[in-house]
Amino acid sequence: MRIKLLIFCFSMCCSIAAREVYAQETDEEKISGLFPGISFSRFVNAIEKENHYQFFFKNEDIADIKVNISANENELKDILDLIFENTGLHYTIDKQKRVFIHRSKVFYTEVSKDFFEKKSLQDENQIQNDESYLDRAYIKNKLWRIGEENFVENDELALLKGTVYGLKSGEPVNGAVIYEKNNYTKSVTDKNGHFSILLPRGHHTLFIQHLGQFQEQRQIELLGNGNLHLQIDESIVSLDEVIVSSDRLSNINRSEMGVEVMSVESMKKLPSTMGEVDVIKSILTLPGVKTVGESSVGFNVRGGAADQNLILLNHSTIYNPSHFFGFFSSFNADMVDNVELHKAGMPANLGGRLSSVLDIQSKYGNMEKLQGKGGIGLLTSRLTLDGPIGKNSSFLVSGRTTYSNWLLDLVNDKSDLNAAGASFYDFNINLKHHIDNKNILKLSSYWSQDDFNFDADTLFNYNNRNVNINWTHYFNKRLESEVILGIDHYRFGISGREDSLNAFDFDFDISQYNIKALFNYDYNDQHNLNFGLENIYYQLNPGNRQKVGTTSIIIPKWVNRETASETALFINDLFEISDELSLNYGLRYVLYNFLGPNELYEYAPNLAKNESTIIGEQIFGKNEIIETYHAPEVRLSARYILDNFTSVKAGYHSTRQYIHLLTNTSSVSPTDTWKLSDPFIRPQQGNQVSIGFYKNLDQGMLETSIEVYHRSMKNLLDYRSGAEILLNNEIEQDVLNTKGRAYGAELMIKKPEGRLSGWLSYTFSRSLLQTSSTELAEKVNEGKWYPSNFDQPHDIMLVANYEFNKRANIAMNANYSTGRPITLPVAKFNYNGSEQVYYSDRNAYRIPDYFRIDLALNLEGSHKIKKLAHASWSLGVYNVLGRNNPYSVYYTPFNGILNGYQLSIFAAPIPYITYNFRF
Amino acid sequence: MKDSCIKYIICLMPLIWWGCREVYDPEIEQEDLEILVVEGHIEVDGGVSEIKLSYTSPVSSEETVFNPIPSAAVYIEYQSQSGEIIRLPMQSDFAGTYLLETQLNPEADYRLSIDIPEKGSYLSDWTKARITPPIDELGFIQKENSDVEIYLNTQGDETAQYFIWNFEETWIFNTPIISFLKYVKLSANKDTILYRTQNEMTNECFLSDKSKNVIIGSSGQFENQLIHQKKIQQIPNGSEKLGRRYSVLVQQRAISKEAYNFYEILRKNADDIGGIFSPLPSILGSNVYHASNPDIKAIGFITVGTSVEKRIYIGRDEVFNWFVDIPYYAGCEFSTDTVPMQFVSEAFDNNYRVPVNPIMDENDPRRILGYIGASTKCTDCTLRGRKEKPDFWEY
Repeated sequence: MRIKLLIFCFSMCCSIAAREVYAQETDEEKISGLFPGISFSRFVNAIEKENHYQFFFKNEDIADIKVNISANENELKDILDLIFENTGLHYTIDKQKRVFIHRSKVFYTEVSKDFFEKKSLQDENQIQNDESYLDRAYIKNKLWRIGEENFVENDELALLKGTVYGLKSGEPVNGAVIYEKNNYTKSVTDKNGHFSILLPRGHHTLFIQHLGQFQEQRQIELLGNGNLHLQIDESIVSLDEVIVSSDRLSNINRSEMGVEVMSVESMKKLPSTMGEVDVIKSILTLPGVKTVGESSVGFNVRGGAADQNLILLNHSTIYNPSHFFGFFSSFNADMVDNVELHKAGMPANLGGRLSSVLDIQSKYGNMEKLQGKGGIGLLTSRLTLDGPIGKNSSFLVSGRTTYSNWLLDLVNDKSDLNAAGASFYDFNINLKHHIDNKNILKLSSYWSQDDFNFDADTLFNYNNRNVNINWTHYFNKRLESEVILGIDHYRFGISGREDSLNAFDFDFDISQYNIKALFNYDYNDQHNLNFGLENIYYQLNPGNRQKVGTTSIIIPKWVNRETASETALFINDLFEISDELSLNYGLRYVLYNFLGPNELYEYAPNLAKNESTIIGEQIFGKNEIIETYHAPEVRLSARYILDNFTSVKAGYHSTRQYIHLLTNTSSVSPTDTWKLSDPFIRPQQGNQVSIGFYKNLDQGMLETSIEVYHRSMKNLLDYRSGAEILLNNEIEQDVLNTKGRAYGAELMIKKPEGRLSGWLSYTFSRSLLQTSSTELAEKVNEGKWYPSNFDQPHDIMLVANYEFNKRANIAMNANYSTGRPITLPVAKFNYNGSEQVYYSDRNAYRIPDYFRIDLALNLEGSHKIKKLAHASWSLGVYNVLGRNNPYSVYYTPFNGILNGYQLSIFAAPIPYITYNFRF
Repeated sequence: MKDSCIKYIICLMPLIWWGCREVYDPEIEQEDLEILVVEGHIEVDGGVSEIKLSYTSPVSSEETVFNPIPSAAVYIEYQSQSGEIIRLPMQSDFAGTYLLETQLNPEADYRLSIDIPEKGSYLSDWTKARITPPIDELGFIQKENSDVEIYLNTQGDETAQYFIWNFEETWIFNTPIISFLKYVKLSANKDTILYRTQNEMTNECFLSDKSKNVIIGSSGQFENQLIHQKKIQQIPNGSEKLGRRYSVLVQQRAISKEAYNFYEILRKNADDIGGIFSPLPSILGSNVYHASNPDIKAIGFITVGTSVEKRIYIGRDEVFNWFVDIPYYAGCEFSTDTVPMQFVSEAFDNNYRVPVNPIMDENDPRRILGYIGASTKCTDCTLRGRKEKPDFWEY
């Protein structure tokens, strides 16, 4: 009996599968043959003989029509379109492959709707166009009739609007492309899943393509303006995904340039350090994005400093994106939805940094059921839970922590180190509430904490705390708004407890209070407007040191607190001038006020600022305006499509930055502080011009691109020799006004799909600095141009992923880059009883070139839908060759003798294994 | 606070991260830059001014780094009341050091003038003399890990906020084996073993050493400008320095902020470079310049002012748990075999073995059976130190 049942089930499955295949095959039935000036009826005979189509027509309609066509694997409707051009005839093909030729524009192949369904008219529209009630197998071929049938208007076109939802999550799908293949009219869903597309009335096959997923299609009969809500399947899809899923059409069509989109699924397939999927390490695989060293999370985009990147997590600014000395980035990959990097400048609604915006969108809870996922690795573990709260709300809670202290403990046992420790955790809580159809409220919060100490007596800690509320409101089909209220906070502290006489606490913190209102107005099919305003109120404690305990003789020291407000108005228009040409232009106007209370020195004009040139001191009251800067920023990019597979883009972006990272190290270190622009430290300014050429070869199986850019920068900060950055109330005496320029070319060839996918990129880039000619205090390298710390001219990256089957794939990264510049000792001398070194000009030499190969193997568990928990394993080896890539080179006297050393961070192959699960 | 972080991270990282530190040879062209290096101090209000002149050597050179300039003409200059520049020539020791002992007015400004035949003439900035406040206390504490730390207390004032310290330490050490005997060759075939006189004993000597690191500090951040327990030197537990008696002479000088910055960069460039969060190497400033060609560089910072000194002694009885272990004497032991009288020549007629003690007949204490020997290395302290008690030594 059991066996019989099994066989029965098996045959059922087979027959279902067979039906599916058949349906797909017949859908795409292709027509081939030569039809040299024959009559339409002979053409019909030929088609009906070779294919499954059946034609229905009135003889008088087709009497005059001659068919003169050579078809080679064409679709029937393409052929019919040609035949019926200018004849006033229309046709309709239904799902049974019946072809109706008719003179009226609309032809009904089915009985009227209310024949079976006894519904009121109001409900009808809703249900008719909402496929969530339907069987999945059926919806592909169902003909959706959209709009009012008796809608009479001269306009040939109708506007189709709708929302794309994920089938399982019930969440809106961002970035899905909806297009039809006749004229390649297309629309991309926004982050709420909304799309709108203007199509000729009549029959269309809509294709829905989302980041590397299966292509879905829908048959529609567009009668007039209307709505269609779609659900696309995302569950199976993650297995079939390409490595980096910039979607295929957008590569050519997107009007902005230098935008890189990466999904977390694709990051998971890249080899990682210590098995931790890392947002920032993943974007480092993209052309134009570099880092000074393996241990630093700070990254450099197109020759810009690490502080010139705006890192946003759901509109919250993250000031320190690193954990654990920078070995991990501070984003838990399980809560990240997707990551967008704007490297050629940014849209007008974003600003405040010079180089790039890293926009991280986190996930929100699904509306269906409680779900969880997590992972257990060698150093960290993570867990994410999400699910509905009631009918209209959902939650997502995500946390991650390290237990690496055991590793450090092990080290302590075997060395003289007394107690060194490091630990971190982070967590997110995201809530989403659908108030009604027109209002959505979201709460996003982030908390991270790091503690570490190098000896038992000096403890370091830092944390990010961010929370914001986001209210999305739909005014009507064309206008929507988003209002965001948020607080971002970052602090770090040092506790010195070496002895009770010198016990101290040091801390730095910055808070910013944000309000942002964003409007999106879909004016018509040519203009899409984005506009709004943003205000940031900064409160910054640049550092203070307090004595701890009654016996401490440390004098408390405060650096004056800083306050500022940055207000921006922005407008951006995406103007589709023609099918070929589109223009994305915007303006951002920023008003920056540096506010009291504060006390500032006045310096003698035209002299280097130092103690001896102080001529007075000014005291400012609370919220008194000390200095104002305001300027427009231009954001411009244009795209011209040469053909369906080729486009040219160009852009000009100007940006300004009013907050600066004070750092004397080449990487981002946890003790770097931020500084607001004041009367002495002017806002950094940048201009970038870029041109790109994009071509898809082999029907889009290969994407190629070349982008070239040139940037000029002003008012950057470099430092005088021996500058003290912590607890310096007169930092203006220690900084050097510096200008910069960067230029380069990025070449990329990418295979987005297939068993073997990946990309190969080559980047040429330079990044140079020069002390401003107006700077009086000191001139680095006698005022000549010198390479910045992250000037690495040549960079080659190869990323490849090979899929053995749906459950196993291997991935490989190979990266070569020129060594970064370094200042080397060129001579030695004896001074003060020991050997000393004399250094070359700033950054006159380079550390050896960098080369590394990583491998990863990702194994998925079985894919039974009804399993209790889905498991997957990631294992891999970082730096397979074990090459000692020097992170830095230095000379130090050891027993009075000068020795040169090179320091490598990962000098051996590092294996890792991580177990991931979801339920 | 940041300093300690850097040191530890270098140690830590290799262990945790499979990282490594290797000797590095950049294979870059190291042309010999021959930059003038000037180190020195002009002592006012009595005392000796001392200036050292040398050239830099290539980093890759193996030879000794001190590349002295023996034949320069060096002058200390000041302006007389009438505005005329007075030049006081310094005496060369023909090994790169130039000295002048005279009474200089502490109210005046001074500069250095250096003429080097092949390079031309160099001048330092006019510098005001700084009067150094006294060292209030020089003391020591034994820390929890039994190391001994030498510290000082001093108090800065408005003109003396920045300080540099140097020290010279001297200590007594003993050989592990005491040789009471000496081998004496009387003629070609006649030799004998004699008892050493008190003066001929070689088991106890003096050693001294100078500070090697840059020790600087500032009083500005402390209440009443009090520098409290500034660490000058740390003596690791078991060091021979405290095996008997130890003395340290600390010299304190008040310096300008610019001089402090110079030494700070020197210190940072030496200590801090190469760590993960290390600052970039800084340009080492100088207050000595070539008089006519600004492209010819010079290294060094001439300080002007008074110096103060203080000395303390630490005896072994003042510290706890001090078990001396001198690595130099590892493996020293008596020869197990007695050298019979007839083999004395073979055993001791060389410079690496000495007789230590006679072996007497148990029945006849006047009869010598032979001698026990030991290596010279283990018995002769003059191989490392000097026997003469330094002039300052007390007790």
